[in-house]
Amino acid sequence: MQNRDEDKWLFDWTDSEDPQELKGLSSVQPDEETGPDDKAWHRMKKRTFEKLGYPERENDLQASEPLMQENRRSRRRVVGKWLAAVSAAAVICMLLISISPDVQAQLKKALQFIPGFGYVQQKDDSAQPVFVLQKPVEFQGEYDTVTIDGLVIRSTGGEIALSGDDLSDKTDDSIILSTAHGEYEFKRGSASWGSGGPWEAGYYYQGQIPITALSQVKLRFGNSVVPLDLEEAQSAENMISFGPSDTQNGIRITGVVTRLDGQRVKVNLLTQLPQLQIVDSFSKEPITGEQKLEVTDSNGKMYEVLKDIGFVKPRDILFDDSTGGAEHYTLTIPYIRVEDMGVQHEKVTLPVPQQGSQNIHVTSALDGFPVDFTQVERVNERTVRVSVDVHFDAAQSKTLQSYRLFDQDGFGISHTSKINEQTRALEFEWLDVEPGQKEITFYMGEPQIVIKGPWILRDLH
Amino acid sequence: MDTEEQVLVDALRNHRTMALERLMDQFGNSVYGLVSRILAGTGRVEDTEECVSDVFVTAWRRIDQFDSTRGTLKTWLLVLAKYIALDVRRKLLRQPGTVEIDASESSGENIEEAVLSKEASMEMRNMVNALTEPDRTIFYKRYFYYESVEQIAKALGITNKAVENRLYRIRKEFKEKLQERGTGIKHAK
Repeated sequence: MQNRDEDKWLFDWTDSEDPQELKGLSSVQPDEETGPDDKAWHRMKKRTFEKLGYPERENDLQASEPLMQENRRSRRRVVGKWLAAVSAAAVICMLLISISPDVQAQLKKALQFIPGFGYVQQKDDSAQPVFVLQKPVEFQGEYDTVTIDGLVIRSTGGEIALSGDDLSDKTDDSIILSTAHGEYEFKRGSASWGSGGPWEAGYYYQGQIPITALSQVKLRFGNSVVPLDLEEAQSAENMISFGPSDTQNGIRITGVVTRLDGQRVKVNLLTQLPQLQIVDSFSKEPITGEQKLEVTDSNGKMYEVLKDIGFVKPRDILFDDSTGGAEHYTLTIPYIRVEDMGVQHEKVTLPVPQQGSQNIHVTSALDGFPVDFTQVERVNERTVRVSVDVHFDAAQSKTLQSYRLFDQDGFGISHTSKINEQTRALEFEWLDVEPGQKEITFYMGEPQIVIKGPWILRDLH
Repeated sequence: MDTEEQVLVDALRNHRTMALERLMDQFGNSVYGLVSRILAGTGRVEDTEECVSDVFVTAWRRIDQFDSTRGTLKTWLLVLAKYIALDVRRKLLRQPGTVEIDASESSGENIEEAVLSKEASMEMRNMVNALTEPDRTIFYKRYFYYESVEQIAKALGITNKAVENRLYRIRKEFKEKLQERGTGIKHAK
């Protein structure tokens, strides 16, 4: 039984305290609430827009289903949390290795591979070299194992990537890097986690960390102090110098091998794509049909690629070599899937039958790929099912598999879709409508394009 | 700040009403939950709804004050919600016939008001900032976000008793340290 008198002075104190003074508050979130019903949200939205002088929003608000949208968005967010984290990292990666002509010219100067973060950057021109942690280091946190996935120190600052399996270890807002010259506080810039399970956090430091002739540093995380050996980042004149490469349909993939502790081998897959394009799958899971990427050695032995646990990391290929380490491996990638966030959104307007289904022949195109809408079926007064043909053909060098839906302001529309079980191409979409609505308009964007390989990376070692 | 949040903040700063609706869809339930917990026992459902509406109106007007380097958009919104709700609660409690249920339950006719000196408050801040996990999360969930012991236990996957025990130990430790340093809680009848 709680002592409410004891509670009250603490409530009063926190109520009067400046939140900025409370360490770690920003990383603690109240639980997601169920919330009131649709009618209540309608009232609150209407009132809010009235106060701001936007009474004309009323019609739009009546046409919305806030709670349903939130619930569905929330589910998508949970499922997509890992994807979002990976996508953000991938975007950064792609920005770093963009191949615009200017950047291409700069790339010729020199590149550096940043292990742990799995990207390539243009070599820093400053006198101070870039130092990195060559492979992950594990240590015992308070509750479970914590992994230092990556650490990079540049002339202008540094980044540290941590992960773990027990959320209770994800504690500190900052971690301290000790060098021979002093201590540097890295602030937490990002964190992702599942319910009580795996977590990832990124820390950054802005400012100079003198690291000439640096060989060992110490990282202080909670009660743990972990000694780390840093090495100068690997440099090369071009991507192919980092590891075996193959080019198919204009896309080069390069593999960089890191032998981790024990039997584990990691291959980082690097690509060079225009800005805003990311590879969201290298066939670690089948993209279409049943074909997945394969790892074999010179004796033809096949290795099982480990599935991602918790966070989806499409560019990291991990497998165990229990034979003690083959001399080299071959990685075969049958397909990749590229998501293009830079494509212009295409407006589509479809008729909505009042009941039953209506065959239609509405043709559109996204990024040059034809998209046909063939039928609209009124499932109920608030939902329609749209049949769509994206003309997916896995035999083609490039083929559209799916896309995302947006509203006129560029915000994603929450909806349900169904893909073909064999090809995994989009077939049906369920969209919200209002009773009596005669047309529906949406925008297609961010096409997911399957590109045919195979890319064969030989002599990975 | 992730890309999705950046897009939303930019849209709010450009005064796109669609973005405000999106903000309400995305964070509305969390804001509503916090506001309703703070106003529990002091007002009607209509007061809670009005307060939630005020939170989003204020967010719309003050979005330029949001600084992503200090925390997420959600945290900023919840802090805003908390202080607007506390203001509303103060106003509601001043109205005749309104009684704060927690206060009346807690001490009946012998209401004590516990206050902390400025020095003790600073000491408190140091102690809270020195809390380790999971005590820190439990403390903020309980005293900053007004979550019930049951809600906290469910969120952290531990028993109600475990949460109560940790809260008890935190309170005991804080109180003892304040008394040790001569900055104890003053009880004014």
